[in-house]
Amino acid sequence: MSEADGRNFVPVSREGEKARDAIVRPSLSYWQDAWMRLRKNRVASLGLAILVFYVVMAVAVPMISDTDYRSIDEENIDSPPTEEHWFGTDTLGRDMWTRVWAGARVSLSIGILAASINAVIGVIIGGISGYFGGKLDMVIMRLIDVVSGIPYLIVAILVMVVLGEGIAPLIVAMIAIGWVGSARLVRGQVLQLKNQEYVMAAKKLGASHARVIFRHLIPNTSGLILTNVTMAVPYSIFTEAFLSYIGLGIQPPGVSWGLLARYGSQSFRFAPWQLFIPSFFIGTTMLSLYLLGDGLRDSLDPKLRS
Amino acid sequence: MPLAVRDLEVSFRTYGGSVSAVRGVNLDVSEGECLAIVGESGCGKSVTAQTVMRLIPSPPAEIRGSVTMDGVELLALPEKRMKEIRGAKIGMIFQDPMTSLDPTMQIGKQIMEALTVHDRGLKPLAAADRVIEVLGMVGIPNPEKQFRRYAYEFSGGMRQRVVIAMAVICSPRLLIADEPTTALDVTTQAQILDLIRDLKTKLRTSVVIITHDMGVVANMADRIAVFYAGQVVEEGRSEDVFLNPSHPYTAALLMSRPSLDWDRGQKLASVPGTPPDLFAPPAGCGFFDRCAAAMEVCREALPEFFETENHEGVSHRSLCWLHHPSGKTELARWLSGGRGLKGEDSQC
Amino acid sequence: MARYILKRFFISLLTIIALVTVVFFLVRAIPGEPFLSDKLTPEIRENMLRYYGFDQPLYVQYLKYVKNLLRGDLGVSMHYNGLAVAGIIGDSFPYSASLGIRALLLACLVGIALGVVSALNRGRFLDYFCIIIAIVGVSLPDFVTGYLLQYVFAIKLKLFPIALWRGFRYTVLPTFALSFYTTALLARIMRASMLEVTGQDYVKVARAKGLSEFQIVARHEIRNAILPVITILGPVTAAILTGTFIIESIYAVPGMGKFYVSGIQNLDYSQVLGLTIFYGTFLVMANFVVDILYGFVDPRIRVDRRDRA
Repeated sequence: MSEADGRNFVPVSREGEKARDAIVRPSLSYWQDAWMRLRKNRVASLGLAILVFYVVMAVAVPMISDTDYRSIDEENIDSPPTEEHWFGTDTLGRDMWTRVWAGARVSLSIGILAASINAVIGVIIGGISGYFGGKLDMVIMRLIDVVSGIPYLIVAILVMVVLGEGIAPLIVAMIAIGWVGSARLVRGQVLQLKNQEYVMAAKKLGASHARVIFRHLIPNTSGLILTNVTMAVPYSIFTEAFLSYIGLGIQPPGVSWGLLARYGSQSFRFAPWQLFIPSFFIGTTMLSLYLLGDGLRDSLDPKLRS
Repeated sequence: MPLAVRDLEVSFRTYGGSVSAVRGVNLDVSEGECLAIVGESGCGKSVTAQTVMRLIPSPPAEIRGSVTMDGVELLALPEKRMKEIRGAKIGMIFQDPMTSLDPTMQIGKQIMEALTVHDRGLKPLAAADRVIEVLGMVGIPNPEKQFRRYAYEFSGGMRQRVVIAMAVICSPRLLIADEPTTALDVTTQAQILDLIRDLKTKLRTSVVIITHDMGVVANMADRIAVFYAGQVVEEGRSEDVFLNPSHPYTAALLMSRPSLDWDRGQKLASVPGTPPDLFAPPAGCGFFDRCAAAMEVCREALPEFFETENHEGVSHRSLCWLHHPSGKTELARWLSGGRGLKGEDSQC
Repeated sequence: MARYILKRFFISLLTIIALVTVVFFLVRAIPGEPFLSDKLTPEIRENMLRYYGFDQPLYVQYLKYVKNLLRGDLGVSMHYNGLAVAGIIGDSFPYSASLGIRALLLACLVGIALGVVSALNRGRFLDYFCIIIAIVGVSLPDFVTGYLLQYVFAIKLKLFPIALWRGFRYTVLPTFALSFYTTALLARIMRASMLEVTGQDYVKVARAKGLSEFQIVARHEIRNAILPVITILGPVTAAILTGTFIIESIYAVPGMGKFYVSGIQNLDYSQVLGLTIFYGTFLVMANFVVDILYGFVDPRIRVDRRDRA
């Protein structure tokens, strides 16, 4: 204790010191923070990169490619991948590379559209149900209970049969009862938020319904909804693939990943790449979406902010 | 000695670096004594308690120092032996009774588990009888009927009684209560504290009670240890600490409680500032930035323990340079200024 | 508990009624007609329409159909002349059920085990191994898994028969193919759920009681972590059952899937209607059983009158 000699025992001067209660951390908005954390998550970033790549390719390849996805190369039927045909050709001699990217347009847009529309319907119904509560909530919840008991794919199949083939019927088939999941989720979340002190305080201070909904409820549920959409896209792509596979989705001469897989499965014993190439793209898209979804869930969770 | 903690240091490695949560703590609990550990959130009091129970997985935590119970070094004990001590020799009560019970298991079975895991030969019927007896002892009416019920069927206070029953069913040598009343409303708080005091006498067990509420410990603890930033800053007999706080932090804590004999309109004091960042502990005293009596030496050097007075030979120690022989002038000034907080009124 | 069961039962009943109604009118709304073959003279067509009751107003047809349904009569197939739909189900459903139940059991056992192992070894090799299996599993559509297993194990390695359903060796590949997605899904859910439970206070309390790690996992963690898995068993059963459509066609299993798809292609109203209602009712009942099961495992549900969010 050599330093503890008498001369040090004098009061410190507090003059010029910075305010003691100052906030030292830099402040970041919720979305800035989430984006930063998402970028730090390597696995999720990889998923995002793959998806962006697929979307760019789906837009670009059919535009710049000199072969059409329907044009037939009669000299190369069932050709394995070569320099001329990177992914080989199918049983009619059509180039798989252009077919895969033309199919990506259809499969990706169906997946994203169906999941987004489902989410919008779910948010509206679930939000109304949770926010206003009471009898309305009761009726909507019973309706949701009943609808969610009906098997999803069976209704999708029937709707497809009734409406005929095409992209629009596919989307209608997927949202026919697909919205209940997100409606239930949003309702639960809204119900929880509605009873939080800060929402009650806002109401007591005279905030209008619109203000409570737009300032408090939507910002606080948007992370959950975004994550939910990311996780729902794979399901929509799966459904498209399933319906096209059993012959109810996209019809020739249209093309989608599900349809390509259907063709591929018919000739896969002697030309397995015709099945495995579209399957690879379905699989990696799913994978990327799941990885991105997991990453989003983690980075959007305010409880994990630190 | 039921419990002796020596030079305990606990640090956690996180992404942001290493946090020293506990920085050289010494504690003693003697036979049948009630020691209260007081401090604000994040001061290391819970980590200390959980380290005693070895509930903190290491690694990732780094633990140094020694924790002995009746002379047995707990920190070096193999996990298998430690298991025999948990629940049997040391019972623990946690903060939140709402989450402390398994929602899918009957409460009777949960309590019984604490008993049968330490006494394999016990017949189920005898064990159940003992559970019912203890349920009655912790003040649960109709214990036979409650045995088969689930946690969600009880109120917070009743659940805490169940948790206490679980902790004391093996008549432990030491009972550690980690903020046992924080999550409860005020009337229930008093009942639970009464119950713990009651059990302490009945079972002749030593008690360590952890709290951030000075009021909780006032008529319960024999001794008080005040924690700040991972260290014990003041330790002594309950009445000594209350009547003669010798560390500026303790004084500030006591000052920040309202009292019945206050003047009308008197403002409640708060301790300005925040505790130091334990990612980079300060070179000097951790309270330096917030202290009304800070001296130059406090910035540069870690304070040591000084005996501040001797009540019939009972120790009362304070980790503060004011009590160094050279700090006499400043100490006198601090004491005459009402132990430091009066001058800060305007700021609070 | 009685109140809870009654409520669930009531909801299931409503669901079945809604299902029958929706499916009936949807099938009637299918464009095209089953008897438009050139070989049929107008008189025969008239007779056929009358025989199947299509000459009556829609609501009469509906009431009549419901009446027959209550007696267990699912109607008569139009394509397979005079064959009762109930008879088709009776012949083919056992194969589908056998395949489905095998796959479901396998998925539950393996999925839950993987999830537990993964969570207990968090951040270590075994964890990453299980995560990779799980993520690959949920990323592959049924038909890909089906063909992939067939290609590798039957065609290339010749370890199992390529197709058909004639004894245990024949069941291995279809069962694995059908269960893979569900296994992966359950493993993911179980892992997340285990990790959440591990951080709960009651686990810490159990440790403070002196329980060993094994006892904590077996008595408290799995028990609580399995609850979310049980809630999705209903949808999982549905996924497996619809998955049988595809797996059956890949492995030539003589199950119901073939009749369903052919019914759609042949516009065989009564066959589609009958099979859909059978599938649907079966799934609604499966959901009901799962709800009851959930009530037994989680005591809170029994008194909880609010809806599960």
